[in-house]
Amino acid sequence: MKNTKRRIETISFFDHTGISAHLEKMAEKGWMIERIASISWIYRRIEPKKVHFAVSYYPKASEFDPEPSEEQKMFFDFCEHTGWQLACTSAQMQIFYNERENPTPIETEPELELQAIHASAKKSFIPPFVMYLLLGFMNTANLIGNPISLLADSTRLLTVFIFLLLNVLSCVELGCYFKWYSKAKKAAERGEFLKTYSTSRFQKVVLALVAAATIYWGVNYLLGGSSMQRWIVICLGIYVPALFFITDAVKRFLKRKKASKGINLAVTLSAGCLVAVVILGLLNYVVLTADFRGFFADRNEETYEYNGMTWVIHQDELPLVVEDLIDIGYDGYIKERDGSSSLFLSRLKMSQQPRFDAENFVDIPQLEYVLTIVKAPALYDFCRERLLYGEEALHKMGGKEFRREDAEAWGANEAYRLYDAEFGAQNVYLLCYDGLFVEIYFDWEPTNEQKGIVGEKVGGCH
Amino acid sequence: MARLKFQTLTEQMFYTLLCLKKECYGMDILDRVPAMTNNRVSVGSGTLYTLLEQFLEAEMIRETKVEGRRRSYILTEKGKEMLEKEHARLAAQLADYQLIFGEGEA
Repeated sequence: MKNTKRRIETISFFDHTGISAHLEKMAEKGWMIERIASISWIYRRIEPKKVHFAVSYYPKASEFDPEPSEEQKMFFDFCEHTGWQLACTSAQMQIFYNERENPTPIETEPELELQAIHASAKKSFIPPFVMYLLLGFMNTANLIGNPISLLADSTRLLTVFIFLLLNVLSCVELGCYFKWYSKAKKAAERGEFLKTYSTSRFQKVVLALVAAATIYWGVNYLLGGSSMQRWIVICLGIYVPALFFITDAVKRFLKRKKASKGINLAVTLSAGCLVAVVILGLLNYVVLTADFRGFFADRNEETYEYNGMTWVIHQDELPLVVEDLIDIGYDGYIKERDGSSSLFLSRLKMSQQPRFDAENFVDIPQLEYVLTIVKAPALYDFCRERLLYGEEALHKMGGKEFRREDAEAWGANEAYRLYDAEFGAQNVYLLCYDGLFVEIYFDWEPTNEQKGIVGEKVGGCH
Repeated sequence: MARLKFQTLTEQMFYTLLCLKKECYGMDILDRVPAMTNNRVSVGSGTLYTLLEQFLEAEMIRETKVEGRRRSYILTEKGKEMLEKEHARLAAQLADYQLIFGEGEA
């Protein structure tokens, strides 16, 4: 029978009434709070009993104190005198329990209690959420710059989703806190206490959404991803828990060694940064190097050397190849299929290029096309607009624009050709089919017959 | 409207200061206030700790003895003045009440 239990609790730092009520229920079930770690609360088994809990805030305390100060211990003595035993502390939060039937509460002046909560919140609650908000906005803004690539990439979608949730969570937490604080201030002026607001249910929903999205992403990559994607999932699966575990372990080790608050804070933060940045960088480097050396490549893939580098001779299955369009006597093509996919979109880039060491490299025709497969029909018009006008918006200085042309030849619903203000018509086309967009780049001016073959070969790729 | 700090005293502030007319251990106040008020008023341990800290800061009390974590305090002149002021305020309230309702009904 296990004597300790870890739980991820979804209770806000300031929600002292919620924390007390929850811990009272846990004690009734036979679990006494022992420690609050970075992501979980640790309980020890006790005889189930009815005890009272109270949370008191000590603004001068810090999560990095080697041990409680003499003043804080005096606070504990005062509490012990009225039957309140210390269960655990976490930063400025002090959790006490009392086995007496009707104990005098620890805080009997609402104004003083509120001052302590607010001073503690300014240290441990408000700054992290403001930081999450800033981080969230910065990351989300960065990632949504190219929405089609984002919607087709489940890793980036997951990141944006998590950051968006973090933004919403931060807004809700800060909003609830300040709303409660302002009302509690008015109540305190009347000598009344105001019960704290609970965001527990909302936090549970956020947590469940993050967990579900992460599991969906991980399972998708593990089961259907490439060898490299599988390794990324495994590395992240180790990296993220390790980040929390290492920083918590460093902090606890330094506390045990009675390191001063300043040293503990500096070393723990450095360790966190080291793990977050250096190890992630190292993992990136290892993955990229391994990829470059062909670790993730199919063992049967052939390679060739050119300019001191090893190049893989991809022979991927492509729906449309140069040979479908023109007769050509060259058979050394590299056919590569690359891209990403999500619940909403797939964006697949197909390219057919001669080997770099081919004798007449520049004369050999090449073909490249990108398929945007729309899995969520509601996104079709949005993608059309982005693909059609995104080009114009992205290259406004270059004066490029798509002009409509005959779609019938392509067997498409709509067809557009790219025009450059300086160089005129380009052999770049955007074709719109049902649930599919094709951006195709030719090395030559395609004939109507070739356009028909394109429509036949790729028009049904959704 | 927010009360200006220590311009008026709450019951708990009042009785805490009253206990410190004579030198007294901080912790003993926790028992003395209920005893003094026939359990009508009690001061929470956290509240008392903060009050003592704030009274010290406002020089309304001073520390007289430090024995490890046990500390004793006594009222200063400023503290006495505060108590007297509060007493006068309460007495004025009582007098006003008696003026309206008469001595017998008080």
